[in-house]
Amino acid sequence: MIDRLVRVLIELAARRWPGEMAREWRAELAVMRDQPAIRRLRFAVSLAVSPIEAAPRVEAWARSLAGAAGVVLLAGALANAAHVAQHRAGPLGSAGVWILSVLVVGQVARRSRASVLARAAGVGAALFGFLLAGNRVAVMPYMGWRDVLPAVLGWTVLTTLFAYVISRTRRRAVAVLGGLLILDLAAIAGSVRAAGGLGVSLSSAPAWFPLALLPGGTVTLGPPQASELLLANASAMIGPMLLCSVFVLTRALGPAAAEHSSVRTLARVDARTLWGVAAAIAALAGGEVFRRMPVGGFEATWHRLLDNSAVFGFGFLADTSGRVVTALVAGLIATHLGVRRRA
Amino acid sequence: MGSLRMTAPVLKVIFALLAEPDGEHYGLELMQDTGLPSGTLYPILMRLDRAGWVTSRWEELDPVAEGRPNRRYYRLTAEGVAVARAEVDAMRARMPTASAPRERPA
Repeated sequence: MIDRLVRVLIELAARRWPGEMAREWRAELAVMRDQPAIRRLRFAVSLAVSPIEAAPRVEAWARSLAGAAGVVLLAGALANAAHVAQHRAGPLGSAGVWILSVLVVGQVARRSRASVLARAAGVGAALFGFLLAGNRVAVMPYMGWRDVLPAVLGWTVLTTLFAYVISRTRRRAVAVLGGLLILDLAAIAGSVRAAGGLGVSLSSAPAWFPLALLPGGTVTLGPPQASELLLANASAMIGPMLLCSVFVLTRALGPAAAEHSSVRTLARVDARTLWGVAAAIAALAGGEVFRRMPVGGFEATWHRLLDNSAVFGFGFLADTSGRVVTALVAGLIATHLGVRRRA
Repeated sequence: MGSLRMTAPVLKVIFALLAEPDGEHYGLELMQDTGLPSGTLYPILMRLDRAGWVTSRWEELDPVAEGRPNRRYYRLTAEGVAVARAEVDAMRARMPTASAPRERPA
């Protein structure tokens, strides 16, 4: 009776486990045949209820998603910092922030261990969520999902494929030129509906991406206000997207960060939890400060980042749920970094 | 050589394997050495195998003559020995008071 139960349990376990594990277990059970039946039963029950690798896989997914979300948040923050610099320090200040941002994101990419394809797809998904959630208050028209989706989908598919090619060829010049071309196409995909509605000629489409990064009023593309609307929308999408391209392609150009030891002691687990909690609290506090900042406190910049009347991306900080999710992402990333720092 | 998350059960298995680094070990023996249940041990062996720390082979005996099916044997790879020792050393370095043997007074 017990041996029949053991056989059933082993069969059930074998369906979930890869390879020839059942053969191996049967061999061990054969050796245990002279031992008390309860030991064989314990052996089989333990295998039947074992989670195998489910937990680490879930954890890895959570970490990848949090990492991708963190990269997009960083890209959004840096892109907005470039806008702030534009208001405060002019074109030179903005250019300086852009260059610094590219260096920062490139450095972050070099420390990442995610695969190139997983990274591109994950960042694309996070980018879509960020642009939609961050621009929920649609002060400007043509910034809904029908605009964001073609831009992000196009960027994600093309960047994923291109990153794969670059990871094989490792040609830096090709990576830069191809990355810029993909951004140009994404800007067109995300702005073509706006162009139709605003009466902007499609012949100017290739110039939308570079113009979106320049100060407003540089050119006039069509009827009054049309340039500002179209280029502001393109800028909101393309700014973070540009830095996300830097992130994905930098990883594709070089090897993944060196594998590291990750021995964890109880004390280190406690420490990484502290890192995560501290980061989550800091993110909550930062979001609250950001939300409560008076309109006149930072001219036409900080507060208007939030209500989307100047630059885009962080509208979700106005909601409690948005701040909580941001804190959660910050906590997860800090927890992961806390482990790696000690490895 | 892949990385592994070093939990206490993984360390127990590594200690058991390092006790005889060139030897071959089978699942039941490792269960007895480590005190781990089968549902904990085999996932660890699978991860060690995937990470390249151990390799495995099937016993080549006549099952009829032996009266039992062939077993699967695991042994540390050369790289696995080096990495496992490094992990153990790293752990000892982090827990000097817990792991360092006390010297007897002369």
